[in-house]
Amino acid sequence: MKTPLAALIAGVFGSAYLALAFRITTPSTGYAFVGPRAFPIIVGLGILGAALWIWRSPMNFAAPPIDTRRLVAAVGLFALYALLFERVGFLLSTIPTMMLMSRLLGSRSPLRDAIVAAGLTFAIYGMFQTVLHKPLPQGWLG
Amino acid sequence: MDILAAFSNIAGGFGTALSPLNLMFGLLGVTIGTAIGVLPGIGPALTISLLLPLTYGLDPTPALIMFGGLYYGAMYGGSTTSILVKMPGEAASVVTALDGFEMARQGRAGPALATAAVGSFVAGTFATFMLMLLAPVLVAITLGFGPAEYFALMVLALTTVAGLSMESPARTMFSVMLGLAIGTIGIDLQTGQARYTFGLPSLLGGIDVVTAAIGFFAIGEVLWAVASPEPPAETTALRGAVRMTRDDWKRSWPAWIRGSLIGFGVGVLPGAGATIATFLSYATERRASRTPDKFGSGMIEGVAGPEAANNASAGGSLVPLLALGVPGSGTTAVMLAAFQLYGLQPGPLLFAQRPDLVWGLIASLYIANVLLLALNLPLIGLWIRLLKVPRPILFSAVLVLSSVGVYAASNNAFDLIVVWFFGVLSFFMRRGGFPIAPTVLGLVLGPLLEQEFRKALAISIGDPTVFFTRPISAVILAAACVSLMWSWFRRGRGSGSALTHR
Repeated sequence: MKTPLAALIAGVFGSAYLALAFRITTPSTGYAFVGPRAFPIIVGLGILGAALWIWRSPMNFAAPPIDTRRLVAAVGLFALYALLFERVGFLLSTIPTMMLMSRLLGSRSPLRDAIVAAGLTFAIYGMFQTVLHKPLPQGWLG
Repeated sequence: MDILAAFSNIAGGFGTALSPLNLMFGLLGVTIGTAIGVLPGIGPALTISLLLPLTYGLDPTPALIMFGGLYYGAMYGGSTTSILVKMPGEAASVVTALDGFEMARQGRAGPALATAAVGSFVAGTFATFMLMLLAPVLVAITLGFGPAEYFALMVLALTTVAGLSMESPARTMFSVMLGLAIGTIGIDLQTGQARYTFGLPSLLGGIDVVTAAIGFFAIGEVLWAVASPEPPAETTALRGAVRMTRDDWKRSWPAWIRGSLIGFGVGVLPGAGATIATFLSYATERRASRTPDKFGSGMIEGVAGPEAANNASAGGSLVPLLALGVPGSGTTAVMLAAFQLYGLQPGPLLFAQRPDLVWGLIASLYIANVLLLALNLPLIGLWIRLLKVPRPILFSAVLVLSSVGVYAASNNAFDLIVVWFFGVLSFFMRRGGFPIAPTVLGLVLGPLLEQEFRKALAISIGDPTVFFTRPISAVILAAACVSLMWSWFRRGRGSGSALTHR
């Protein structure tokens, strides 16, 4: 990322964080020499300081090329997984997610991916149910 | 320094570490550690984060013994792929690839692997010995520390991260501040005020460190693997026996000793980490050599020194963690989170209240070193086979294990959204040249830093000069300022580093 853009993002984030720090309510009663907003204000100023430092430190940084389509698909897939995990259940959401993620990671062996996904998912499910005693959501299978 | 007391304590520690259960967890730790050291992209911080939710039900002693062994094991395993595949498993093994892979190409992979393993053993044992001696001394010194001194120590840790960073100090400082900012999310425990929760009840309890660490390290790594094309691996076969000649031994010994000293010294400094130790060691070996121009063409010293340094730095980094409760790297930050998860706070009190745990952990590190030496050299062929695990399967498994771990810890699907958010953030930070580990360090230290800050001001009845009028606090804060100014002048104009991508 080029220096001006990195500094700008850091500066905008620092300003927003600092503005929100000033909106933290300080209780009118109670015994505290330092209220709840003091530390966030210091951190906010620190972020702005870091943004300024970034601005003053030009850096020749070239990130390697990426496959944007795959990235967007993976981010979307994981978001969908997070949303459906409880509703659909661990088994029914994890197996297809793992298969699709393997595909996005470059796998061209759907059968192998399906076997590994099912095997690992059932193994994890069994371990959580029987060894760790932490039941995972059953969703539609419940 | 009461050396006799240290030996008496460590004897008790061996009693704990050698119990069958702890020994089994130690073995499990070094085995997993070696495996993740071999696998590129899967580091100790990531693995400990993943394992934490699975160890909730365990007693803290075996769990922490496992994490200690895992940390040491990862440092051992990293060299194997550097030497044979020129694909370092860890950033701390990048330097090893320079001469290690050249040695392998010349048919000397055996001596390269042997000097790395024996050097790691020598350095790991030395660092554990120094940890055993130094930690109680630091504990004795810090018994008189108050909140002002602890606040100053944490400030020093955070500024040193930027000062000694291999990446841009300015961007590292931003990463640290971002971690501190994330640490302020949730209810303020002193006043009950909600901060940065945006009306979301799930954020009132704050951001769980383990959830954030899994997002930053594990999910970020999965997204990185998805978006980046698989790096072409240059491989050499292991020919001949894994042993060194008399000349190899003669050349390796001094490098192991220098590497151990450099690694331990750098490891003790908060924020410096194993990577910088290996680069320093490599530079030292070049300077000490009569043929510095031959470095890069298969010099055994170029493998022996850095491999000793990265193991010694792992031991060194446990000194501030155990004695002061102040982590200095991503891995030790996650280890501090592990201690906190079990309701323990490393530092002087832990030595007094749980000597069995502290000394058991230190003793287990000696055992881990022996186990690693036994596991690494004879089983080298097995470890190399791990590289045949297809990348798609490896990373999709990391994704699933991360999600399950995070969900199981809280039984709240909202945490999956949180982990997703931090994963995406981690990816874009790396793309932008911002290192990740300092953010996790800031997140772990942030709440402690604020607590000590407020306690110090409460004791001084609101007088902010307390940080400068108490001599130790003033000296530590002055050191923090020097560290910041050093990084400003040294690399104020900044330079990029490919290490951010590791």
